[in-house]
Amino acid sequence: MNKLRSKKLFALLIAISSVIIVAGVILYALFGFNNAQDKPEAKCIDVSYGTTVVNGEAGKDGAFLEENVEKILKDSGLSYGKTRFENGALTSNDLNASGQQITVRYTFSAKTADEKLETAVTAIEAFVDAQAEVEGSPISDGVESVAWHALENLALKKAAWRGAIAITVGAVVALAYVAIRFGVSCGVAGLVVAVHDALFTAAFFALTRIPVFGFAPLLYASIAAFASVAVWTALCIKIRSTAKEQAGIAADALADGAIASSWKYVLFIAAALAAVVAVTGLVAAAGTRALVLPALVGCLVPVYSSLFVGPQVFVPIRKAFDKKRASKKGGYVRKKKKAELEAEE
Amino acid sequence: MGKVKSALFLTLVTIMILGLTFMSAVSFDYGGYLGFRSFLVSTQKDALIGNDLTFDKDAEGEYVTTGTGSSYVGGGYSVVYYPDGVLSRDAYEDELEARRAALEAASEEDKEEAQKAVTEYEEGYAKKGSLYFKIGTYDEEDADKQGVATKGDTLTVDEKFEAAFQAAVSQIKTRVRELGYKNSRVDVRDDYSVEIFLPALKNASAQAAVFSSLGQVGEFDLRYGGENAEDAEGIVFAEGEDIHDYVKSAYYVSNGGSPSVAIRFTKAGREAVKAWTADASGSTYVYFYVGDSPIIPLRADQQIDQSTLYVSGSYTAPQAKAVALAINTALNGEATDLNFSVGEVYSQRAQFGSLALTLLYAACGILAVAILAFFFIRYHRLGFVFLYAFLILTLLMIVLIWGIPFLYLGIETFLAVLFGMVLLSVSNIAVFEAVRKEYAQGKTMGTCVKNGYKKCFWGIFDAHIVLALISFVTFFIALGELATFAFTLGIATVLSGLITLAVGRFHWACMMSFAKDKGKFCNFKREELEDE
Repeated sequence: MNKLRSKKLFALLIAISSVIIVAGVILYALFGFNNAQDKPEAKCIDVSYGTTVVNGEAGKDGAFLEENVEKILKDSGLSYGKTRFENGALTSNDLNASGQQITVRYTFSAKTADEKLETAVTAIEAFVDAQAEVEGSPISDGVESVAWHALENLALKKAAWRGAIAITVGAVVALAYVAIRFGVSCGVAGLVVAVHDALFTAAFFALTRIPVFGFAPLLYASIAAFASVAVWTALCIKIRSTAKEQAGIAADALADGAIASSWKYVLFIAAALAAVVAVTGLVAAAGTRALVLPALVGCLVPVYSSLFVGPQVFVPIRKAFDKKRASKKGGYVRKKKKAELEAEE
Repeated sequence: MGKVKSALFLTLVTIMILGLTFMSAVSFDYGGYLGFRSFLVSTQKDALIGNDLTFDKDAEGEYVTTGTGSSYVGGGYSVVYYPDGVLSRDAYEDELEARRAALEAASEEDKEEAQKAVTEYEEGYAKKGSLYFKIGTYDEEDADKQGVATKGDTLTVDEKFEAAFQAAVSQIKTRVRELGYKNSRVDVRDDYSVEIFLPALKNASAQAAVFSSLGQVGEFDLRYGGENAEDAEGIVFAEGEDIHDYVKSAYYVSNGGSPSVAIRFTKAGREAVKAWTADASGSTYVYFYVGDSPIIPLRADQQIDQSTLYVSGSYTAPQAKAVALAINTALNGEATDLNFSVGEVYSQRAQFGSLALTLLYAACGILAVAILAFFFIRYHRLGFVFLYAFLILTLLMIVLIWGIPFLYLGIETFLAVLFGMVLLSVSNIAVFEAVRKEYAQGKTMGTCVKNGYKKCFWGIFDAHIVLALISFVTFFIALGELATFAFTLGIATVLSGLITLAVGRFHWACMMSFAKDKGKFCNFKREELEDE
């Protein structure tokens, strides 16, 4: 028996998977995912000023102002995220950016004290007022307003249950094809593996509380399910070719053979997917990175499940089918013999 | 395949690839305001990664967003709505400044009046956080005298106003959710104002109408009269009746390709509208009110006698959807009599920063170079076969994402395309390795290629079919980002399968016809057999 298929190891891994999935489901039911990337609650200081805007970037006067505002915020002990908007106008039939005014939004944790923000706003206003007296200052009359706000996001959840059903139905249909082409045991084991991977990935994010965007866990779960189906199909191809070459081969030997000859391919596919995700995540902008890098989990979970879980699930199902087939065949042989005896008599 | 035929075929394919590459990547201007926008530039982008170039040019040569669809052009808009009785600090200070200026400019005899206006205004509002609240009791009967808070030791917001605000927020949230635009969000700002973010649509005027409809909350009402909406008369309800006894619901429908708002009447509603429009001329109007203003002013040229009325006007699909949702949520949502006015409007090029899209292209470039380097190092000139396959897949994906109306460039699309590239690479490696094994056994290259593809065919076919099945089934059921990811991966899978099994083999035959040493061409070696 292949080392990867030892019963003790399987029991241990199934226990680990079960604990992670059950704990993840409970945590999801209680707290949902950690959607901190959506900034469900935040406070911000909006600094609006007039400037020359080129492709969404402020001119030199804006850079001077922003630099000093950021210095004030740092001196106040405030850490922030920064977003730049062009101010616009909405009329009954048009919506456009002015191209002349910018609002820079400095976003803080929701826990930041109101007094601290008030003090920072006062300091920024004092700086702007002082600049008005400075001859030749780049922001002498450009600053329109400085104000702090509290933001509370209203979650627009709609797609979650449909997404979960979509992945499940997709996996069932795809694995029905696998069952037709490679046998029911391959289809059922594949379904177990795909559902395991999707649940495991989603549970992982619920459990670890890694901050994600609201829609992202389903995307990661689907990546896991898709990769799982792809990798499992690769194993099934090997299982079928071995079964064809060696008629009557035992289920254990089939699984061992598939693992032995396919583990390199499995690792290669997972490594390639992981490399794509890692490079995209590392090269990309900060927001993209936060969205893309967690998808690594979805790429790697199928390696674990297709090598450790899938074959273990496959073997007993295959054995049961082999037994059933053998008994049917036995019945046929007995009937045939009986018929021959009767004919002789 | 003969050398001449191969050369001809490869030339044609190369020209096609170069042409597609040019059209995908290069934009240029010609003849004044005319210009060609490459597929990558004119492909719709989502709000997260945005668009680093604006979409088109107008008659003056200025870049503007154009089009009539509901697709995204990158980035988005945030609009802040303030309920009546609540002002932003800027709005309050602007008004106060105007009154003070009027006081300064006032003649002696008007001074007292102007001073009163300033004092009343100053005393009429109180600050809480960044907002100014009108002092007084919230009065449902008289809209002009709405106060929303009382001033004691601290400012206390009126309970009725609070309830009306929460109901209005609930209506707005339902509308934004049902509109279903990607990356849209609703924030309650400073407890008593609402900030809505929607991705930028191609049609700016349609987007303006959507924002207007989203902020138009209040009760639904049906009125009729002449051109002046303010003089229109409403339904006189019998005891125990309300608007639900006249109008059932509203919904969006594409009526013969024309986006429309369908309004379903009850029997009583149908009769009422029929009676109002019995003598309809061009100056008879039926008004569908949401809050204080009509959301549909419908001019009746003839009698209207329909259980479902389809109003098309000059709506675009987003407008019609937003209007139908506004009516439906006002009719069937939580009741509120609050009106909102538009405050600040912000435009954002890309939520993930202006470099988000460029960096994603860079990541794709790095991955493409890495994949191609692997093929050229391991398979030498056979790498060109993969290069052609890779370029064809990439270019076709660009064209399809550009051409399929509901697809756009977003991070999920990039991931799906990249996964498609991985699938193509793995499939090609499987084939190349199978051929390598055959070649090692001493067979001719032609036989090796034939056997290699034969051995791999069903494996590659099955893997692609399975992935395509799961992708397309997921697409048909899921919504939003997951649906986009699944569909893009589905088409990438189909293309990867076709390119690997059909196109790649053909390219291999063509390219190899020029090689004298075919083993060297592919970096394949014969197995050395030791003499016993």
